[in-house]
Amino acid sequence: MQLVTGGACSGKRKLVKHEYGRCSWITAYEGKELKDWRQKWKEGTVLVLEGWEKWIACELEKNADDFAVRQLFTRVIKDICEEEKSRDSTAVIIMNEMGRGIVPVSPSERRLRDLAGWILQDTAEKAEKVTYVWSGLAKQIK
Amino acid sequence: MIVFISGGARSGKSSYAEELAYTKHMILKNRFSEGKLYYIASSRRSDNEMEQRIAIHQERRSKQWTTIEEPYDIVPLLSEKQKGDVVLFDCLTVWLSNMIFDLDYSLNGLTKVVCDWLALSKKKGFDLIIVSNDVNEGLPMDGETVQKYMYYLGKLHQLAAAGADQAIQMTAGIPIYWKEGEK
Repeated sequence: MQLVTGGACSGKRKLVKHEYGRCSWITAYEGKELKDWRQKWKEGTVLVLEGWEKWIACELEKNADDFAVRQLFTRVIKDICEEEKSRDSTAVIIMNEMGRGIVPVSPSERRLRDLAGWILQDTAEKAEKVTYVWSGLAKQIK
Repeated sequence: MIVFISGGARSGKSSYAEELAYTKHMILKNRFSEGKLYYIASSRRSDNEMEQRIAIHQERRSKQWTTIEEPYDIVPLLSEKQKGDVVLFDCLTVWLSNMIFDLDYSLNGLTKVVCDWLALSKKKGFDLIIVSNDVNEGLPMDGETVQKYMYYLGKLHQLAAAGADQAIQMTAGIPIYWKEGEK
């Protein structure tokens, strides 16, 4: 599994589109749900999952337990890694870096920022390769 | 040579850019005695706070600098520059907000202008250093206006970094070179 991170609008999508051929692209920005990833991952394509902060925010609304939410996403990442291995294919996860701004005033935004940061760390730990994108340029940081 | 420098607030972008520009200027002066050192400031003197921010930047710069304050139209200024000149443009973020909120520029229009800057530097052979701010690594903000601004800025950063010989990210006063160029 490959993780591509960086700030919003930093060129992550462009990089992934350039680097990988045929993709099954599942994006929260078009209202797609995360849970369908297995069915939507077409044979012989690279799975791309994008818009994690939206999926995380959605889960946080339903679940008051931060630890449970973090575990849920760890589980999804683990499943994706296993599926990737069994298919002998590639999964690419695009996650925003969101921890470098001012501490948000609203508690729900602080909670989202915390969870997104933890899940980013968890995903980076599982990833074989981590790429950080800045101003359209890419650096492999793992 | 084109240099793109960006980073967070108070990360040392402007100081580093000024040092870089000054050093280039001193080296170039030996070869091009006419070569000048320019500072193009995009901020307007809108209020007391801006006056103070401008004063901090001005005090730091020596007499070697020629300062031009221009919030919008940079192309005519760059058209006059020649080989041996060093131009520091500070900064892209303020310029972009001037162009969007005062002049209602489209992304196409902005892209064309920034491409013109890069092309002018290459064609005329002057050094151009563009300073900007990274504002996209915090929590994504709601609101159409701010999202449009972030999107446009992201596109312009990608354009500037792609066209630059050197691309530098400032962190805690330390430059991280994403593109090395010839130092």
